Amino acid sequence: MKEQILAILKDIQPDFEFEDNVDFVENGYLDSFDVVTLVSELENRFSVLISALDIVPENFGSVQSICELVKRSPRKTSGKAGE
Amino acid sequence: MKATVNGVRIRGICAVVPDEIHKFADEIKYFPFPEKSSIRLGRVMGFREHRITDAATTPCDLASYALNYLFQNGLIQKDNLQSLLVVAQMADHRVPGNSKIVHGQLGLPQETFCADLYENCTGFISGLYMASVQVASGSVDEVALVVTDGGACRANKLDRNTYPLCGDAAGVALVSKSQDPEDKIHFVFRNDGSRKDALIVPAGGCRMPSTPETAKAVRDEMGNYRSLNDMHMDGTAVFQFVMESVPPLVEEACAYAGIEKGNIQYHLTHQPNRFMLEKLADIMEVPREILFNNIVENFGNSSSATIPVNMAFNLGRRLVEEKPLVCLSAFGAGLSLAAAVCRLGHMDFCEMIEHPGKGCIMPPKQGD
Repeated sequence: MKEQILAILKDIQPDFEFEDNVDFVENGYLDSFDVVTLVSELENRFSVLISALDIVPENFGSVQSICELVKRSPRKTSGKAGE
Repeated sequence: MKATVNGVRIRGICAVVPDEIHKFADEIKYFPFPEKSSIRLGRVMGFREHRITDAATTPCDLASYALNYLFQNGLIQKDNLQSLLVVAQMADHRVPGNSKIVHGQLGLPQETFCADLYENCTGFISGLYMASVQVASGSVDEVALVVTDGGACRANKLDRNTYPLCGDAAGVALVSKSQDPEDKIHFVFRNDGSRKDALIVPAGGCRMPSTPETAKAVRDEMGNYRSLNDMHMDGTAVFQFVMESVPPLVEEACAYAGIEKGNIQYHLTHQPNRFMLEKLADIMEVPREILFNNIVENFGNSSSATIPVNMAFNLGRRLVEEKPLVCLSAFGAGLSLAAAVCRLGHMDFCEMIEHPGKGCIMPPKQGD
């Protein structure tokens, strides 16, 4: 999962190295619109539904925190609109 | 604040949008980002096309065009118009107010009460409250409530955070006296002025008058160019505010109205972008099908005018033939929140028309 997330991040922001010791949001690697794109990519790639209340900077600061977010997000159900 | 206003209804809705369609695909070249990144963002946010007036058309022109359409079609009588309330964040002039400009453009009777309400995205609900209170006071039988927004043609095309969202539109709602005990509107309003900086145009008012300095665009850390005369939006703060504040606001409005949230047939919200509205529907545990999210992709975000545009585009004739239980909700600069619960429908009309540009205020007569 980590490699896939890293690939998504690099695709969204090719100019940055997403190192382990840097907070992606605090250091300006991802702005709010990048986070929106990232959420959509994660939902599609991993078939999860990320809650709006989880779309906060601390959940997007590192690959590890993004991994944890994906793991705890519920799977998409077929009845949900917009799929 | 909470309030219930009895004996009022919306008798008709007319939304007007510019006929000039601007496609997101054609605008991508302006944005200082890779094309692929903008396309992907556009897909998520619902950036597809938006309606923007030409530079000759103002918020008052849109409003007068819609009102003239209603006069021409006998839907209101010009000579009997008792009250005109114009809600906007953009003005044709600093002095006099929009309502007086519209009054002059239309040649309304001198006896017509005219007032302006400066408001942002919650403007339709604030205006509906003010109009309803005026009707309920017994001083008038009907108020022509106009919400209008213009000036998107002068917005900053180099700012991908705001430009693809913006749109121009106006809406007229006729707020009328009713004898039907079912006709009442329950309102809830909330404001948090401590968060004003989350959505602000810093320059152009008395606090920071516009100067050549404030007009200089500066590149932000993500690559957008923005001056102090442009809209500044802290997307994260606004998103969190909406997600944390709107669901309890709607719950409160429903409880105040004495109904179950599950009985609401349509949630007619302000329209900032598709992503936010999908997430809002999910967190409110409301089917996405009854909380429409398609106004930005078809017309853009026209601030206080999005709710009447939403009504006319998504419900239209249904609001003439039926009378569903609805919850209106809006959120925006301030930061501010507003909600209204009512039965909406059995209207005389609920239509959308197109404005031809060039400052036109008179629709072509049938047969022209």
